[in-house]
Amino acid sequence: MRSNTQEPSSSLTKLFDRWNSVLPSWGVIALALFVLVVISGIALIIPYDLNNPDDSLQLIAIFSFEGIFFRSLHYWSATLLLLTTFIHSIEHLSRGHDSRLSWATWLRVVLLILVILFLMITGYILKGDSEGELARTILNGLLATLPWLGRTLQSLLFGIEGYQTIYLHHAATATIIATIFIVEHGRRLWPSTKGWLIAFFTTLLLTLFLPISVFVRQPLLVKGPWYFLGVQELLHWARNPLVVVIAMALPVIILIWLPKMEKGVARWCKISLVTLLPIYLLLSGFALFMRGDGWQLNSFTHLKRYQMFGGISIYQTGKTDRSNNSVPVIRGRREGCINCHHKVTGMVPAHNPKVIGCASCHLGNTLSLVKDVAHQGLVLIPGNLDIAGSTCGTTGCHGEIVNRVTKSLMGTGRGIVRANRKLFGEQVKEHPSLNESLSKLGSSNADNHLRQMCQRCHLEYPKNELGAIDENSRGGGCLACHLNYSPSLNKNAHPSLSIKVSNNHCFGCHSRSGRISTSFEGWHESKLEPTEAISKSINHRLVGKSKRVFIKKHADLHHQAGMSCIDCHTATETMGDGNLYSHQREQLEVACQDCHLKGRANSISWSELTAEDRKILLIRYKRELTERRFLTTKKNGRALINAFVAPSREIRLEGKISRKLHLLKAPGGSCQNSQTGHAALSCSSCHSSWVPQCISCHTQQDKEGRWVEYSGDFLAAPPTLGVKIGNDGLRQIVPVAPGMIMTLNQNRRDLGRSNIDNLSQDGSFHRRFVQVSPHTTIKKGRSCTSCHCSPLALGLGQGVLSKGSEGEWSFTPEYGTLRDGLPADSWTSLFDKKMDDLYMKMPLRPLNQVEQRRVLRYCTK
Amino acid sequence: MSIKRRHFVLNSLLALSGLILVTPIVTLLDRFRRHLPTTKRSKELTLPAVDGVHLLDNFILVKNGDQVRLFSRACTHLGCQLELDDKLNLLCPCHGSKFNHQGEVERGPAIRSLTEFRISFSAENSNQLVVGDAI
Ligand code: FES
Repeated sequence: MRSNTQEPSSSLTKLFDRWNSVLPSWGVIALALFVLVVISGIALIIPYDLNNPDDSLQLIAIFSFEGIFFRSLHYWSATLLLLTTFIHSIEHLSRGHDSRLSWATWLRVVLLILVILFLMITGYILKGDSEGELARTILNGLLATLPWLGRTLQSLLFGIEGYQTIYLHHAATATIIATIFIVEHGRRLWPSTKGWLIAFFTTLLLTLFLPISVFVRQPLLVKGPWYFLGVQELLHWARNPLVVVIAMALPVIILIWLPKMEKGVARWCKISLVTLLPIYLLLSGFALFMRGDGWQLNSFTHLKRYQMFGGISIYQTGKTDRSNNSVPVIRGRREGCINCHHKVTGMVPAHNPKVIGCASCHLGNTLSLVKDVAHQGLVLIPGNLDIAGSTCGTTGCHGEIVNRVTKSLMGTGRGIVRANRKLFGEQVKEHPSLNESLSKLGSSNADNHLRQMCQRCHLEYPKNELGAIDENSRGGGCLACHLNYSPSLNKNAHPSLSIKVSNNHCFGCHSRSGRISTSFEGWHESKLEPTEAISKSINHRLVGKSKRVFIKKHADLHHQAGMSCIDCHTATETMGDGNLYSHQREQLEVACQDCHLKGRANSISWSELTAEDRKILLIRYKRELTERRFLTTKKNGRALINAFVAPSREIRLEGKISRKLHLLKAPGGSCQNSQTGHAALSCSSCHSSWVPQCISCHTQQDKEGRWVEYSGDFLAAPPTLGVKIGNDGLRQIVPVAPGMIMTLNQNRRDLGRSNIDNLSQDGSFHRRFVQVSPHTTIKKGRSCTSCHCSPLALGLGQGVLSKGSEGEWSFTPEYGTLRDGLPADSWTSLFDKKMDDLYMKMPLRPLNQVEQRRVLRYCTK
Repeated sequence: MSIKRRHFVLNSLLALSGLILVTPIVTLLDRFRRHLPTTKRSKELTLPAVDGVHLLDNFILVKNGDQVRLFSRACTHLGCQLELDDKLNLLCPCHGSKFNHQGEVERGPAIRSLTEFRISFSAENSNQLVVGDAI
């Protein structure tokens, strides 16, 4: 043996000396912890079930206060034992004990550390949940990289299946070896009183305040125990796992060889070993905090899901009857919710609580029968999109759809956000992004305006109160469309979540702005006061809490036929198809001609439908509809699952909710062989009876930064006709209505004193007409005169269009002119070259001079 | 010097004798392991009705019309069970390997493609798949 006076870390040694002068040495504390581990381990033998370990731990959590206590005691004493072992080893190294002990004794010391690590990891695997199982898979995978020896070591150390091998090693082999080594190394079996006190009270405190619960693993992420995190991170980086095995074995080999080394080399080795430790800790921290699903960089976001400590309240196992351990197993886990809530009714079969439980949607702590504990982390309204990823969209349920919805236009309101920012003169990137959302607004004027006026109308806006979806509802994620309250007043009736999406679900948002919902049902918003509406009149309807007064108009033909919104509008159109769009027209996929076919139908068979389409049909019909051929859209070939060619060759549409069958008729004769000049007409340019139009309004910010809107007249009139130039350069005549004819004043004003006319003098002026889908379809197309002699159809606005004696046309507008010199409701003026030039390059423009003349030539009033 | 040399020779001899002793033991244990009967995994699967990627117990089944391919669900890195994320990617929860629906690696640390199995259809029931050998 070499004599050793000058050891490398003398400052470290001093630190240890100082500790030892007051407190018991680390070795003594470690010994006390070891005794605690053994005692608590023995207690755990009773409730632990080798054949069903995971389940036995869940039952402990539900029923046994003592079980939770001893499990936590076992966990914390072991964790502290590992930590103190490390510290104790560093002390040994710094004091140069490696060179004082005989090599064989030193070898046993190093082996002891390995045995303790082995005990820790086998304990982790013995949890028997999928995380423990994966830890074993990884360890066996690592052993398999060793040539020749690997497979044998696998079966010897960890076993391949079942827990017998591991249990035996954990409870017997390794524990006995560790005891022998410890006794030999420490030359005592019983720690000092001081050592006892420190070990016991630290462990007890941790046990009481951070008891261990049963961990719920995230399917896409497994991290393993804390001391293994660094290895996991290395394994992620290394191309060959053998490299990691060698990297882990190297420090051990160096440790073993330390006493045999030259003094200088030994010193160098020790320093490197000690510096490796913080590096390993850093790696572990990185893995813990920065790794998310699929081991991708995802800082912190998943941490709240990575819970293993139940909080002190899980000790309340209450007065639960222990003989009654009939807590059902749901989706592979015990779930106590049903034990209290067994009377709940009303769910659709797919959501039957006996099958999916309550926690699949409402989360909470399933391993408790004590109300307050069970309701921890409970989500009362699970369909909101901020939580839908862990509820409706959890793995195995509707994950893919939730993902699409969060990208869709209805989900984010991206179209509105972009248009509004453009209007306010703010920068908008060419390509849409996920950050353009009504729930991710900034603090600019445009965003403040959106926040006050528009924010509630998108799916990301949360539903905060219980209750059915009605005229006043906005937002609510999945619930906005799929929540259906049953009329039953039974207190155990749970609303159902189904694919019965009624028009009422759409109404809350879509009765505003474009007002598609109300137009479809034949209601036009007026400026009447609620008191002016003749009560109970069939011609008036009061909508929502603010009692907006609507007047009866012509309802859409499809509405009269009993069709609902979702009979035309598809799932991918409403919930998005996963792409980011910036405009409604891009996301829409159905068109009139998809059902009202000219010529042969494009159709596909049952087996060609997508999995999602088939699933929906199976839910609706409970059988495969192989006899049908489903129509597809012209735009992207997706199926219209309720429009089909029947075996009789008839083309039909079946109401998704009503189940009513409708015969799909081909376009009328005049549409099929259109008269000259009418080929470019879109269906809705002729077949729309009216469209709500709002002319001239003013948007103003008041002194406090509140936005106020002053609106002009609301009209219900046939749409104007515009020329749309498609991406393919094709020209189409489409219905158009004023999108905005407005002044916008971003300067804050005291609105008490100034009047509105003055306000609209400054600020920016905007006149923009947009293509609309009026949803007021009529069977017979517009009359000749309603287009050929109508100033409104031509885009001139309301007024009198007359022909002079010379045959020259003139127009007298009804409304006065605005700041751009045009009458309030005009889009263009008659025979005006300036207008032609103004609109020339636009994808949607009014008829130009030549076209106006051509239209008027056929006016035969 | 001479003491050191003697030590070296002695140690080498000791190591050699250790190896001679260990080799037959390991080989014996290995034979022991191989000759024990192993529990067979279920080798019959029900063919899912719809197209797409399906996780069936220890297998991944990719169905596209009449085309059906069956892969092992074990990641080729260290063997963890693959999962599907909401974009239908096959992800390994352990160290983040990613595979495509042809079983090929899209992102490491895994290097090898997934093991594929031969399949045949049961004679009595065409919806019942019989899992064959690895390809
Ligand atoms: S086991 Fe799959 S990435 Fe490591």
